Amino acid sequence: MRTAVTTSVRALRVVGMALLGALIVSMASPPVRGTEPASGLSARDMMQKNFFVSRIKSFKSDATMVLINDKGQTRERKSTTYSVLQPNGIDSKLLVRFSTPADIQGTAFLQVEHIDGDDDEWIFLPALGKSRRLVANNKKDSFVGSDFSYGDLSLPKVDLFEHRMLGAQTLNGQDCYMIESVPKSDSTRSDLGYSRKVTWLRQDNFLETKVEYYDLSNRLLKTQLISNHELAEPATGRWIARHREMTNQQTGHRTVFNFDRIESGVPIADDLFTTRYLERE
Amino acid sequence: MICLPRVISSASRILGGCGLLAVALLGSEAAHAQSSEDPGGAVARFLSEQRITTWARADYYQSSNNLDGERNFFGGTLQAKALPRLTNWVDGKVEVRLTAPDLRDRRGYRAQSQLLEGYTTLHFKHADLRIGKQILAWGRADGINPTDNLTPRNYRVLLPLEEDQRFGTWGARLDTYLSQALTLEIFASTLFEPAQFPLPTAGADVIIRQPGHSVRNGEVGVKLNKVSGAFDWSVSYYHGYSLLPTVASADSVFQLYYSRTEVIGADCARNYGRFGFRSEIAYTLPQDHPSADPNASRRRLFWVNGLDRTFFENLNLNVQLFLRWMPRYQKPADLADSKAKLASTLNAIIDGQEVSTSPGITFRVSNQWLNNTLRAEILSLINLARGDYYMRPLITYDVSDRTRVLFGANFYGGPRDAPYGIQRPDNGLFTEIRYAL
Repeated sequence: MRTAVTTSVRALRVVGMALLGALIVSMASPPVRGTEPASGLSARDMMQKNFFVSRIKSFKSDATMVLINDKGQTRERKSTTYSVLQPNGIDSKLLVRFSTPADIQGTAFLQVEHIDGDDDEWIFLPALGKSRRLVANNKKDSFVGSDFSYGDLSLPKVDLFEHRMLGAQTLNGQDCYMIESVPKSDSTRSDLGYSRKVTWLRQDNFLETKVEYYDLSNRLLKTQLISNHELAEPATGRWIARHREMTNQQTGHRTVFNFDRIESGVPIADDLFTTRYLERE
Repeated sequence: MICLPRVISSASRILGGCGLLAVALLGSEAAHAQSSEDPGGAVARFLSEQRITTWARADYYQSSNNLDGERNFFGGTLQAKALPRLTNWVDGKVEVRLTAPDLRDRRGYRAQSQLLEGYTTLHFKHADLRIGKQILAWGRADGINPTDNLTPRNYRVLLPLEEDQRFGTWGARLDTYLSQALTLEIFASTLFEPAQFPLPTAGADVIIRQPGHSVRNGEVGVKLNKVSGAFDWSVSYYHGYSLLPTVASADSVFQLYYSRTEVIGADCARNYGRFGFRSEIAYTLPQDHPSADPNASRRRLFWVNGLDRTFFENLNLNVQLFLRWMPRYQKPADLADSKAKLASTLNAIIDGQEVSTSPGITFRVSNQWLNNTLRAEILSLINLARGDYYMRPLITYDVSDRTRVLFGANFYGGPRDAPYGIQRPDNGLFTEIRYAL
């Protein structure tokens, strides 16, 4: 009799401990649906997919960027961009030419990316009449006065960050994973200007739909909303987002970036990415 | 007998005036065209496709930039630029400017129109040929370019930006693309145009001997330019005329000429981490010797080295050291002949070479705020040999995409017989409001 009671108490104790453990685990988790993706991919793997999903082999586009200050005053920049992916599948060559406003018409920017080092960059200013080599921008520097930094537009290497799954959420009807990325080193923190960022990745194609950027004091600095995703390369599953909106939460200034026209997979001659075409107004 | 170069010169002024008015009016119309139904809309659309932009500028200058003591200039400028694309392989550029620097219409400051550039470019598979009036800006250093000998500047223009000083030279330019990285540029012209700048002649009579427009007086420039990877460089050769005059003799009348010259040059640019490094050097060999000044015919070196870096987000610091060196330089004070002494003294001021080794420093600090709509800059040049200097603070604010305002000042200082010190009478403030039509 005593043995049966002892066994029952022991069993109850085991079950109770298990329930208590489950309760503790559930209280420590973020208030979202589940933390383990059904795909079995780690947070780092998902960010790696995100890194490559928008690496399109080649495209030509016309874009409009509208800068809106906290008083609602707007400035508009129109540009044409040519981009090709280099043989390593990571780095791009980029030629951007501005057509409006009048004071920057003909200004052009040429970039040859190097993921493992500083990019090579040149700018052509029609008023100067010649092109000029630039020092590769600090990734936290603003891109032509917008709320996008160079690091926001040209994603740094995934392994510069520690990635952690925060959970899942449905955002604008899309099921998304929430991933927090924290720079591993002080130099990366300093170069990017962020203490961390939180990315909402679509579960179906690992495109970002929302990104929150936190400054070096861990205060929310900017929020980017990404939408109008378009499958640009069906064969390789590469996507492009036609609409991006970046809001600086601390100043109230925001930038809306729209691709008005995109042609992907078009043959683009490599010699387009030379000063010959950079200087052709 | 009709002199062809004079006809071309006159035609450029007429073209500048008429074309400016037409382009300004039609360009403005094109910018605002909405309708595609009526013929006027089709014309406006065509003009829009030719990428016509026009600006109206209103300026105030406290001094004349002309060492004549005149003050307080209220002026206006209308400027228009068109970039027509005629076919896939032919395009061009026309830029004209109508300037009325002095609404009081004082003598020497009357309104005038100018064709700044007007050329056609033919694009071939491995070459581009550009014919017409064009600006060629050589040199990778910032602001002072020893190899920049093809395109004149008007230092007297009452407009605030460095690029406002430039105007084109008639000629032909052939760029041959030897590879993606390597370009051979050849420029030739028979229509020499000198720089315009205030002469330190204190109102005395001046006779200037300018080369006639002929093949014999032609000029040619050749540059091999490499741009790719981590290191850009070029080597160049120029055979033509000095853009600045040389004083031949000076007594009751100043006699000036433009020296036949050769310039061998090179430049490079490379980044070292967050620092940008630029260097430019030119070795000048004067070819003729009509001046009483013995230094006028002597070979000289002009070398500029600089670094720039951006701190925080937008604070950019650009520092350059420059050196003018004339190994066989004779001090003007040591010359026995009084005419030679005066000529040599004036040439030293014009060339900035008052001692055999004449070092200097340029310093530019700039910053931007409010999403790059507000910009401030201080530019300074100092000749260390005599301690004379030039400083230009400048503030620019983009009120909107169409409207920009500028405030600035020109400060010259140092001994009154030094290159910048002599320009102290031109110290003054300036301001501009600029509107894109």
